[in-house]
Amino acid sequence: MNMQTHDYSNIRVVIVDGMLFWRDLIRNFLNELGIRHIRCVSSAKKSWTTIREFQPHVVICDWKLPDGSGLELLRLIRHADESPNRFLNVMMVTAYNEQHRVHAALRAGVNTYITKPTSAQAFMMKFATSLADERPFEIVGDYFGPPRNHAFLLQ
Amino acid sequence: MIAAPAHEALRLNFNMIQNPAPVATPKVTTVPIPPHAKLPLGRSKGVDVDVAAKRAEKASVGIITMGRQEFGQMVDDLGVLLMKSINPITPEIKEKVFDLANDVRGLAAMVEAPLIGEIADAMCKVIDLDADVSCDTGQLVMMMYFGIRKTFEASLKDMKFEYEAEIRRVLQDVRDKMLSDPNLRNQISR
Repeated sequence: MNMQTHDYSNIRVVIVDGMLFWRDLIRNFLNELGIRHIRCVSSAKKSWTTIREFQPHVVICDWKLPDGSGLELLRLIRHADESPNRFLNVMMVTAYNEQHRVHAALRAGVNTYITKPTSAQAFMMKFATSLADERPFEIVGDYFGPPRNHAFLLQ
Repeated sequence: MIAAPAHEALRLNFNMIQNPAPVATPKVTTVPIPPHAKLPLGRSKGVDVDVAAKRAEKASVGIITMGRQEFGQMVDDLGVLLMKSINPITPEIKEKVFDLANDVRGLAAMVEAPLIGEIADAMCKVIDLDADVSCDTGQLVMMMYFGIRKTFEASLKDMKFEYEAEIRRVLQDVRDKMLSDPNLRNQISR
């Protein structure tokens, strides 16, 4: 069965990736989903400024950035006092597929983890599924983010 | 203190298995998403994902062509880095090599070089897990780079790399050796 998305015309997205190729490709995917308000940045430092100014609803970031990491950015979004929105939907799109890295991102409160390479369809399905998830966030110990398996968080 | 006899220790262990210590139940606080943080999803329906994905793939042709150039540069950079610094592999070099190999594995399939993606993925796993695959890690990484380089050169000439089957066999061999190590097996996600 084909998947129908919501209307995303009012959604604002920030793409953070050190490689122009991935920024352009993801922007292209989002355009085809009807998203027009997109900012692309290539570094962690610029991304933090952009997130605070542009006030996006979704941040799509790579793990490895030229001047930092997407994981640090995610932690800032979830925990920093100056975070504009601690409930931001954060998607990590990265080539890192090692289990320990995926777990680290989940423990830091990422909403969705997508491994590169990704097809347009796989990306769009995960994007749509992630945006449709309106469950409340949870605080478990140091953890703040979308609902997770609690035993996993305590490991 | 007199040590408990062996059978006593075994009985204690058996009791522990039968009555494991209770797992602490974590305190979970639910925080509803406040109205200002909710997504402004429109009431009308958006696009059909299948249709949008097909359109996106067509529109990505130019980006992928550009990506091939970036990919070639990455393969060159990886070679330069390895030639300069493979012996010995310090932790800093290891991290740099890993990062470049990681970029290569992410981009390879997108620019229609899946074999290179597989080699780069194996390279990342060998470096990341510091796997002992019965040969020097540095040598193995160099061999993998040789595979990447040759496959890439063949793809530029629109040729099939003559050792493709051999490389796939070696990769399978490395994967099998890593999977046979219980410490590594749990850490390999794919």
